[in-house]
Amino acid sequence: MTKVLRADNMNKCLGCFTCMLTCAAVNHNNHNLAKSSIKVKTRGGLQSKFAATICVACKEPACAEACPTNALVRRPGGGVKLIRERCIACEKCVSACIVGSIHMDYDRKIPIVCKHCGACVRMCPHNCLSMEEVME
Amino acid sequence: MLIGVEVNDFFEKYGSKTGKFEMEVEPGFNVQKLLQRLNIPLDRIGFVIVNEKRVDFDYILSEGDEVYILPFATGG
Amino acid sequence: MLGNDFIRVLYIDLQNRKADIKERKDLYRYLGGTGVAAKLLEENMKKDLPPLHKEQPLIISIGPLSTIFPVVTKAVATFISPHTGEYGESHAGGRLAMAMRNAGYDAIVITGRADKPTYLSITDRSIEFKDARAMWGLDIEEVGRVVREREPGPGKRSIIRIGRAGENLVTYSCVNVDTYRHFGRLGMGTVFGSKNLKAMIIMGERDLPISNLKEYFKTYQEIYKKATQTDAMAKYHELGTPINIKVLNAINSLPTKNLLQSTFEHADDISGETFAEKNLIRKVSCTGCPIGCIHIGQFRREFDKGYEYESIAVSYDHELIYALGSLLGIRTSDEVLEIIEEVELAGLDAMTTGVVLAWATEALQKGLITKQDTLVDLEFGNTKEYIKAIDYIADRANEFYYTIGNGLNEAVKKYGGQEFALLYGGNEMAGYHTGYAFALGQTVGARHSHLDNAGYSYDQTAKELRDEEIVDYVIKEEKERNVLTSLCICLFARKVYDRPTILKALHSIGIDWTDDDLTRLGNDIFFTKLKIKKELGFSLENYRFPKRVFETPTLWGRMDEERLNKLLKMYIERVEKEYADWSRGQ
Repeated sequence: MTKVLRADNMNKCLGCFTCMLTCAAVNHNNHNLAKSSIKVKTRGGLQSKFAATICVACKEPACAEACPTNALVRRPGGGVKLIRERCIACEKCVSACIVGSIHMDYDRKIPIVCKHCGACVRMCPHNCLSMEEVME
Repeated sequence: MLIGVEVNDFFEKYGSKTGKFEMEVEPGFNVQKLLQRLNIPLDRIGFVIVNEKRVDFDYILSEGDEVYILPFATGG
Repeated sequence: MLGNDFIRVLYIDLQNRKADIKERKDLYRYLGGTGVAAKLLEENMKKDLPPLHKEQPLIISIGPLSTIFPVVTKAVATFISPHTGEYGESHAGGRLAMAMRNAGYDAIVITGRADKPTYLSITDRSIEFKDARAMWGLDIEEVGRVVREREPGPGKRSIIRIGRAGENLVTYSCVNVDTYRHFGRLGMGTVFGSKNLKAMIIMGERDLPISNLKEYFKTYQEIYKKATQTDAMAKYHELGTPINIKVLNAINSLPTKNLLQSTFEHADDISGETFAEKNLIRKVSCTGCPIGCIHIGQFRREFDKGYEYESIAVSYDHELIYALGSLLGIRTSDEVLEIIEEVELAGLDAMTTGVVLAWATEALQKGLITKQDTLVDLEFGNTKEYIKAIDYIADRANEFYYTIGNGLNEAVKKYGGQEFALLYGGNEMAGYHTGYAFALGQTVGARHSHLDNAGYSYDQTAKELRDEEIVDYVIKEEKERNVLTSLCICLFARKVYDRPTILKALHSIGIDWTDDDLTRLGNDIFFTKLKIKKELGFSLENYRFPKRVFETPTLWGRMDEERLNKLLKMYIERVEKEYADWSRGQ
């Protein structure tokens, strides 16, 4: 069994962005939450609800299919793993992901992809996020 | 003897009984004992008001007293 | 600047549409926030020119811990206050600190006056001066929407803006920050208006590498745990500060109907509990705060006959319920929200607006002014008329509204009624009629805010009142708060960030300060602000408290005027002596 990230309780979200600060720090050694894989947004202005753009852990990841150098490989349970030395920063994966979960880190010239590590889940103060067990 | 009690909702998280109710207590019963019986941590108390006057923990209650238990007002 | 021993200051000249960036090593000893902002004001202000002169600066500053530690959410602004004519400082949460951090600016200094209405767009790689002529006159909500739709970066940006009040130079106009937060007091919105600056959007994707991830994240988690898992902050999330309404009402401390009363017969109808039950629809956070203290309340309004309704949501907290509720005798939570909405859209400071209207209501009753002045029937509890009056203030509808748009200090010069004008140190009263420490504290505080030194807290917790102790408390607390606000820590988290915690957090990002350094900082800032105030001609000699505050009981009974005057005298003597010592050491 393996686990993937879910954001099923975004109705509880406070918009504190702790998940993003945590992801950027833990996975990308960066204080700028623009480096986070999980992206919390409003649906349009702060008066609207919050939503989270996350990797939905596709079993047949379009991002990996679009990658010309096999830098993105399917991970057990869904989603992908980035093999950095194969990546040429062509950005094909960015447009291939229709939920918009991948964006580029132009400082390091790599796409930011979710590892489903669960760090954001542990730091969410309002239980908006969870890790779900899935079949491999 | 019977007293009237109102406990601010703030104390709910400490497992205290909150809201407005009447209570039967022994004569000579003081505020501190009342707070203990209601499960209200003493260090979280702001004000105990009896018949619209602020009192200390050693205040001895009398028949018909109206007791109002509140936290401190806060701000930045 | 993270990882460097300098403060990165962005200088913007609206007149010449130019910007400059300086790396200021000399400012590093002030850390950030109020320390850096006060220092930048001191060196850029023109003490002989009026507050709204185009050459006067407006400064916004963040601190080294901003956003990257829990509840370190504030941005601090300084300016010369058009409301009091002296030192102006205001704090706001929201996303501004995060956006400045990610754009890579520790402080922004804005000078000059744009030759036409302008909005600023600032990122880590661009500074643009954009045409805002078509936005002039738009309310806070609309201008936010227009900027949002024109500019990139949803979720990572901060949009701050003014409403009509700021454009019309009402001296207590606010700057709205990301819809739900504000630079409220002392007229920063007025300064925006005077510079023809309608809005500012800021965002950035600057690379901010972490120097020591292990130590940083360990410290982060410790503080996060303290903030979320102890009850140090829970009350701010639950009912929030409106929990105060019932408490203050029970202890003769809730200013009601222009402080004719300190208890309100309808307190329970506008209590935090009532808002939570009837109006609360959600809570939100400033970026980097896991608490979520921003309470959003909803009310519905029938805008036409035939079951035509709209629903409106605004943020509320204690100060608003006080100033636009009990102080005006408003009897329901729905009506309080309705008044809040009007104040929000116009872009006024809520507290000052409420106090001004409360004074006007009594002045009308007493015949100092007439309905020809007020245009509406101002009376306690009359929501509809207050809403019209709020618009008249923002629009400066006639001579009377023009005058009260300059605050009560100006109003009483023209109309009288000084004895019931709720002013402390030239600024309209905050919502705690608790006693001597509050009254002294707001009067002497550098920004005449109840938050400068929280005298209301002393009044409540003291077992007995000792004069020496009150003076000592007010001074010590203000110095300590200067440390917290230099770091831009939200004051709600002051129990989380004790000295050891602050030092640990600083250490984890490579700033090796000591406890003595922090003490030195608090002291330096305290006197730097006093120096600015003196240069701007501020003095508390001959200061007189309004009679009203002595007529209405506090938690400690009726205050004695002589005793409060004596406290003020003791304060002045002690601070002047310390100031002389400090000046010699500089």
